[in-house]
Amino acid sequence: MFIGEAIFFFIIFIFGAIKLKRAFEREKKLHHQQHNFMLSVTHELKSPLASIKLYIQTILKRELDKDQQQQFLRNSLKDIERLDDLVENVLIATKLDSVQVQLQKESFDFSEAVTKIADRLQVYSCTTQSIKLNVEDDIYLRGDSFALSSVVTNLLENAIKYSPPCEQVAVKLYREKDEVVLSIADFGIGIPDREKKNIFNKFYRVGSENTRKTKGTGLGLYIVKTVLDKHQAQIKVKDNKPTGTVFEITFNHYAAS
Amino acid sequence: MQQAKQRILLVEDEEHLLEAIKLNLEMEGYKVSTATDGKKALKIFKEERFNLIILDVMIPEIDGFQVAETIRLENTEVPIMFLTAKKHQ
Repeated sequence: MFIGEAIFFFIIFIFGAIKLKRAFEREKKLHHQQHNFMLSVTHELKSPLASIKLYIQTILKRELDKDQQQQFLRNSLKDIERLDDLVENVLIATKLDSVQVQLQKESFDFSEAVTKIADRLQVYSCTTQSIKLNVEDDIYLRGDSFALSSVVTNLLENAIKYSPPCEQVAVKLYREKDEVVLSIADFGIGIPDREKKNIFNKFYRVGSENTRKTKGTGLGLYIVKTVLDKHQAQIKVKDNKPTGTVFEITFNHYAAS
Repeated sequence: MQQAKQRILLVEDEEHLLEAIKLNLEMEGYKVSTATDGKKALKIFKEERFNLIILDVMIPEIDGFQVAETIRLENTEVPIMFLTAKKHQ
């Protein structure tokens, strides 16, 4: 009898210890990711600010010709856009984490939204037309236009960021039976299979913070997945051929005619 | 006789920042070579002689601290100045 109880308590103890160890490891991993997030946000905030400050100081202090001044102001504007996108992502991520805030459900022209975002990023990303648009007209969705626009912006910015300069990014928006499909395909570096399951996690970024080639905060794809989940939309990550990634989003219930 | 220009190796992966710092240093009379990642920085360092190295910490390929360590193995004289957004390192 006594031995039976002892074994029972021992099993409970082992079970509890394993649970505790797992919780501790989870917490440690999250802490590490949050630390990386702080590092990357610091970098992402400070770098454009430092360059804007230096550009303005240079314009004020030096005798520059008009072309040079214009170039410095254009560069500063790009850095301001970058800060704007970062602040927007932090705000949306905070909004998504808040239980009180509900996403809007309104019918809006998704074709128009995708086209506008692609046009905006086209201007800033490259002098040639790197974004190839193939958008069916008048596709309406029922959902939060602001949050869904952020999904498109994040995916398109990633596609450009992880591609060689001016490499083509193909954006397709079309109806398929009762569904609406948005596909964004790039010929960039691609995502290794072992990383595919992690990329939508909050703060997760591939590689080391100190030697990463591309900058970011690990919020973009978290926002993408969370917003899409709230709209019951599915997202698939596939390999592009010969190289690169295809993100394919399918909207079913939220498609509005 | 005119004095030879002092040479600086500037390592920074943010192109806008690199461009603005380079211009300011050149206007102050320095000769500036640039690199946008750690690997290129070490390659340039081996090929040329510098009076100062300005090094960003978060750079692709090899981070700034590792670049500094590698440089110090070969050269203990050249001053290295870190350029970083991280205050507490």
